[in-house]
This record gives sequence, C-alpha cells and structure tokens, in this order.
Amino acid sequence: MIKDITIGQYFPLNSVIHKLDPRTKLLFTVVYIVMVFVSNNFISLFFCLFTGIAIISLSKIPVKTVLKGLKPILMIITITSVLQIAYVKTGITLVEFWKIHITSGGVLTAVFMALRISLLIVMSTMLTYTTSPTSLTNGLDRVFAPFKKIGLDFHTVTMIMTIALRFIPTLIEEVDKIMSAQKSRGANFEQGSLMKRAKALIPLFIPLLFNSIRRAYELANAMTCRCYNGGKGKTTMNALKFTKRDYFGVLSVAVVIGAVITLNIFCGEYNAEFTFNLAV
Amino acid sequence: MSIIEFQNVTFRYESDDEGVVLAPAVKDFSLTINEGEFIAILGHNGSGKSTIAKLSNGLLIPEIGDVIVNGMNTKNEDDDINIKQTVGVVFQNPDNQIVATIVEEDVAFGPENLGIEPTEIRRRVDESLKIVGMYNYRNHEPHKLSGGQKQRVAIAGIIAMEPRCIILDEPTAMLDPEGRRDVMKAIKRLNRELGITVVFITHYMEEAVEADRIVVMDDSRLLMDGTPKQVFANPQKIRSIGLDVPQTCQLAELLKNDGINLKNDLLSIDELVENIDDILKGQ
Amino acid sequence: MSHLETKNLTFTYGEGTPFKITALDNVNIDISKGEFVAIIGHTGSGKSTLVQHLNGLLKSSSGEVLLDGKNIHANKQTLFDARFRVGLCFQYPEYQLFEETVYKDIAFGPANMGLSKGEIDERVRNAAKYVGIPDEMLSKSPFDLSGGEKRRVAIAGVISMEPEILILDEPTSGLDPMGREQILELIKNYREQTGKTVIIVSHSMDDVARFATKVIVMNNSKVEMTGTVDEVFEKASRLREIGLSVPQITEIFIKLREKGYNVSEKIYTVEQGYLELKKLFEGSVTND
Repeated sequence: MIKDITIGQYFPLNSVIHKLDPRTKLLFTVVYIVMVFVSNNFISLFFCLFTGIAIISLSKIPVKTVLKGLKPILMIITITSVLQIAYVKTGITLVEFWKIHITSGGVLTAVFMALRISLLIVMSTMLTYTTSPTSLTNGLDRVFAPFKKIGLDFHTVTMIMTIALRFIPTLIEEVDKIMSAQKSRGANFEQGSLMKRAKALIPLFIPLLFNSIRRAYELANAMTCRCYNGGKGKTTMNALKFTKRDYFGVLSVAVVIGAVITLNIFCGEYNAEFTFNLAV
Repeated sequence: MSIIEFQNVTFRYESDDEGVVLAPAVKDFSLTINEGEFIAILGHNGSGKSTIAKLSNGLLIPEIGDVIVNGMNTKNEDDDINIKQTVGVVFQNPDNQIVATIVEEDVAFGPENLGIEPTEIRRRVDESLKIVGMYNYRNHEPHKLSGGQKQRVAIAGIIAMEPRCIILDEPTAMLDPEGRRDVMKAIKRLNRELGITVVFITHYMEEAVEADRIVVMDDSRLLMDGTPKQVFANPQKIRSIGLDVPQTCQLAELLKNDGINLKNDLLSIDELVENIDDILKGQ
Repeated sequence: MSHLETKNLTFTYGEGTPFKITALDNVNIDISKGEFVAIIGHTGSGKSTLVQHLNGLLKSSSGEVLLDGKNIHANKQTLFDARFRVGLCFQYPEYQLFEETVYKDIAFGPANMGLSKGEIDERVRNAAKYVGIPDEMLSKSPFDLSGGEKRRVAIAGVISMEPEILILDEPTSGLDPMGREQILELIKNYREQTGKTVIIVSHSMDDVARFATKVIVMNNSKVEMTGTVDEVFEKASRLREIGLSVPQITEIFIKLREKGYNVSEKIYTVEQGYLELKKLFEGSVTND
C-alpha cells in the first residue's frame, strides 16, 4: 500500500513540462485545482480534462504511470460515486427494482464527481512527477521568500520537506528489515487483539526510533561539513529563471481561467437532465 | 607545507549522565599533515580515530591544544565556513550523508551553500561525478544505488566544494568487496591526479598499505607514524593493539623466524613472491 | 539424510510489474546435520534472499524448502516451528535491539516460543555464555554497550531460541579485526560445543576458508558451485570472474606455481602457507 502512493515521486525525463520553472508549475497546479472545483458543468470539466491530457502528453510520462496515482484513492472514488447514485434522484429512471432506484442524474453526478476527484489527484501527482523535490522546494522557497519579512522562515520548512522525501524510502526499507528480523525471533505482527498488536509494534518502533535519531545526528554532521548554515547566501545550481516557455505557461494559465469562467457562464450551471439530453 | 596541524590536542566527549566525566577520546595528540600527502590512520574501534576526523574541520573543538587548518585555528568561529571548505569530511554510512533526492542535486548541495554561481556549480558537479565514475548516474535517485555507488556520490559532494584536503572516516567499512574496490580507486585518483591531500581512516590493512604514510592510534594516542613498510616491519606491535597485519607480512615473519633471509619490508604479494623466487634461485 | 533442503527454489520480486527481478533462480541446496556451511556471493547474488526462505520469512514463487523432509509451508504449525528451528540472524543485528535490558532482549525469542520462566532464564544465561556476555552485563541497557558487544547480544538473541540450524547473515560486517576475530571464534566454539548446523553468509573468503565444511557459491541468483573449501578455491579464476576474491595467501601460492614452483594450491591460511614454504625451502637446500 505504501508503495502505491505516487504523490511526491519524481519521474525524471527531459520534456517541456519538466523544464518549466517550478513556480510556473506551482501556479498552474493551484489554478488548475481551483478551476476543477469551479467547473459547474460537463463542458467546463471536459475542458479541464483536455488541458490535463495535453499536459500529460507533453510531459512524456507514460499514461500507465500517471494512472497509477489513482490506485490508492480508488476506494474513495467508488464510495463517492455510490453515494451520488444513491442520493441524487433527478433525471429519468434507468434502473428500478426492489429498493434500488438509479436515475440518469445520479449516474451523471457520480461520473462528474469521479472525474473531478481523479483530475485533482492526477494533476497534483503530475506536479511532483515533473518537478524534482529540490526544484519544487526551491520554487516554494522563492514563492514564500517575502514571508521572511514577517518572521516566517520558509527555507527551514522546505529543507525539512526535502530531507523527508529523501529518507522516506530509506525508512521504509528499514521498517521492512527490522520486521523481518523480529519475525525471525518469533514476533507476530499480524494476529491477536488490537491491544496485543499495538504491543507487538514496540520491537519495531523502538529500534526505528533509535536508528532515526542516529541517522539525524550523522546527517546533521554531514550537512555541517558541507557548509550548510541555514540557507544564508545559498545559490542554486538549477537557478530559477523565467524563460519563453514560462511566459507561455503563464499565458495558458490565463487561458484556462478565462475558458472555464466563460464555459461556466454560457453552458450554465450543471444540470443533469440538460447534459443527459445533450449526450443522447 | 602543512595543511592541518594538531598541536597537543586533548578532547573528551560530554557524558549524557550529569556529573560523569568520560575518559578523553584523544589524548595529547600531535600530527602534521602536509599538502598533497596520502595518509592512512589505523586503529581499532574506540581508539580515537573518528574523533580525529571531527576535530580536523572544527566539527569538534579541542579541550586542550589547537588544530590549525591552513593557518586558521578551528577555535575561531569566523573562519568556520572557510575551514570546512578547506577540509571536507566523508563519513562511514553513505545513507546518512546524502541530502537530496537526485544524485546531481546532492552533489550541488555544498557549492550551493557556499554561494557559488550556478554555471560554476554545474561545471563542478559534472566534473566531480566524472572523477568518482558516477556521471552516468547523475539523474538517479540515491536510495536505488548500491552502497559503493552512494559512497562515491558522497565523495563527489565533498569534491565539488573544491577542498584542499579530504578526510574519509572508514568510508569502506559498510561496503562489499566490489564497493570497496571502486571507492578505493576513486580515493587514489583524488590524491594522485588532483593532488588533493587525503586522510584515510580505516581498519583494513590492505587499504592502509596503499597510503604514503600510516599513523597508528591506540588508546586515544598516536602510537606509530611512518611509511607502510616502516609500520609493518613491526608486526608484533601492530598485533598487540588488536590490529591485523597483512597476510604477506605474517608469512614473511614466520619464515624469517626460521632463519630464511627474506627482506624486511615486503607488503605486496608480488614483492614477496619475487623475493622468495630470488632466494630459491640464488641457492 | 538431508536436514535442510531446497528444491527448485525460484523467487521473483515485483511479479507482474515491469520491474520484475528474479532473485532466486531454480536453487537447489542440501545441508546435512552438523555441517558448517558458508554461502558466499557478491551483493545482489541472491544469498540473503535465499536464507530468508530457509526459515519461511519469504515464500518462493515456485519450489519448496524441506526441513527434515517436510515442507515448511505445509501448514501454520510447520511454519511456526521453522521460525524457531531455523534461527536467522540478520546483517547488522545490533540495530534491532529494543528492550530495556540485555537480559530481556535475549529473552524475546524464547518468550515468543511460549516457554516457562525457568526455561527462558536457563536459555538466556546459556546463550549469553556462548557469546561471552558476562552476567553483570545482562542488567544493562543494550544501548549503552559498544558496537562489538551489541552485535554479540543480538546473536545471543537468536542462539537463545536454541535453533537446530543457526544462520548468520554477514556476521562480521563493519567490525574491526579484533571484533571480527571474536565473532568468528564464538561461532566456531558454539558449533563445536553444540554440534549444531551453522550457516554463514559472507563475501569474505578469508573468513570462511578456516571453518567451513561446505561452501555454496551464489552468482546471478543461481548456485554457481557447491563443494568443500578445496574444491571451490581450486576454481580461483572463476571466483574472481564473478566478483569474489580469494585469500591473499592463496594468491601467493597461485603466483609461485605460475613461476614453476611445485607448491600446493590448496593453501588458505598463513599457517598452511608457512608449512608449505618451509618444505619448499628445505627441499631446495637438500637438492643442492
């Protein structure tokens, strides 16, 4: 399950999207998420979908990899869809027997919600897929730099994020190893009452904690040896620079906002019957 | 010219328990490391050799005595960054030294902290990765590399700061034979081709014999200081402090005790075989 | 009769994904009671994956592990028994210590076996003796010990289950020469005193040459060679090809042979080498 989570993973390629300034991508992602929420009809949402598809194909990341990000939330999507079908009773009746009563409105709302959630997840994943964590934190660093004046040091936060991302795979590996070792001494992590199971985790968590403290101490030494002093006067190898690509990116952000608002106004509020008729 | 000078250094760690005074980890230690040297520091675990690494760039400050790096005293906080840039330290566990999630971004971490220009950082990162033979892995994620590869990335991260001296604290202790070989190769290159001063802390004899000079530590003190041949000419002393002697030396010693007239300073397999051959042919 | 046996063991990580890796490929090994087995191979050769199958931690995609002729995955009970009958000590075991005292940590395995207090106490003290942990250390916190002591406590934590087969994965890695010697010595003594089967996983040929009665060489997820120390070291050039080294002393004798001297190649310790060379020197004196 832990291995299925794709948010935070980076997929290094040499595409136009990868080369964009992280700030452009941050802006785009935030705007995109807002626009998906704002979309109040299928046409607006389809526009968001096509924009998403365009970005995915430009990024050259395999579709399969992109869709993998949906796996952990498949359950949430399913539940949401079922609830929509159960509660929305507008439109024409599609199926009716015993206590089940499915309407076109219910189905369409379910599809609408499922698509909305999927787009949110997939496009958030796309941000980390196409932006290396260091580049992303650099971007955040710059975006939040003005807050330093009011006493909020965002650099520390971004450094913590980078280190967390760096050590998550290492710690997962370590958990696996300690578990195997304790199992070899007869530890049982899978059976027994909740209390018993919680207790069984002690032989896992104590070594993990001790090892992490040791790692943290050694990492701090190593960072000091590499002249880390809290980010004062720090430069970046991949310096953030707005290029033509980024201006184009910002322009497309404007286009998306404009398009979604226009489509919202002209195609009207989401109306199950209307959309259904349109589809038929 | 000396690059690091230990002048009668004594250091003790603070105990976690209040009021408990620990024995010094380093006692009255004096050593001059010259520019361009390749020194191995030998000693068993707990002999104080790792403390020497941390004292050499101001990670630890001596209780008594001074450590002078290129004319700067590590006690002087104003020179701190300068000292750490002059003397880089690589540690034993490669996992706990890599900061970034992409190899080349990790190597850039040091120069970035130093405020170097981006184009210059790029040049240094590429060059450092080429020196350690990891350039082809520059876009990889560190956690997917082998131990030996990670350690070479850690070394590249130090080289990119362009230090004049690199201290390596048991960099091969956690590696398999292949990883050890590759790391050793990279370290030798640093010294022989780039002229960087190398201080190599280890307990592997086969690695120590590669150095120009060996310093042996025991019980927090400096016990011996000389060329590998001088140091291993006294196998009993080495063994008495819990260290190994290369098998060639052990064999030569046994034969010499039997009155066979072998040379005194045989370290490599080839030297020993050659010498045996000469004696047998001479008879 | 074979004590522990694998039949056509095959194991793949990430089955059904493009990242599929075959870690074991049709592995057959056969270990008799009382043998001292060394499994050697470079990192990634499959040796660690193999030993994790021997106590049932991993389950192969195909093939089986037989303990006294019975499949360890036959049912829940056989698997539960295999955990304790085949004791597995991981690499860097000191990082798995967790109890408040050394005593409690060594008792963790026996306690999981459901033994009585008296039995546990006896086993803890016995195991501590084998690894040279004095009584007064038993009440200390394992986190206050030195690296070498921690390693020995961790090994005692497996020995205390009194397994019929003791497996140690790279027991000496990261230790200095003295620590290495101590660990190898205690393993040797343990085996001599208990007569139990011991399996050591290692990439150091120097360590195994002195003790092993059988050597299994792993390469590329397969068993590359099986035999006595002599039989395996005879193929020195092949060992080097697959990334393993032969002891320095063996190299000396290979080189002497290349120079035309009639010396044995089966030299793995300094002692053997000394005796062989002594013969050579004496021979040359009398020949003159």
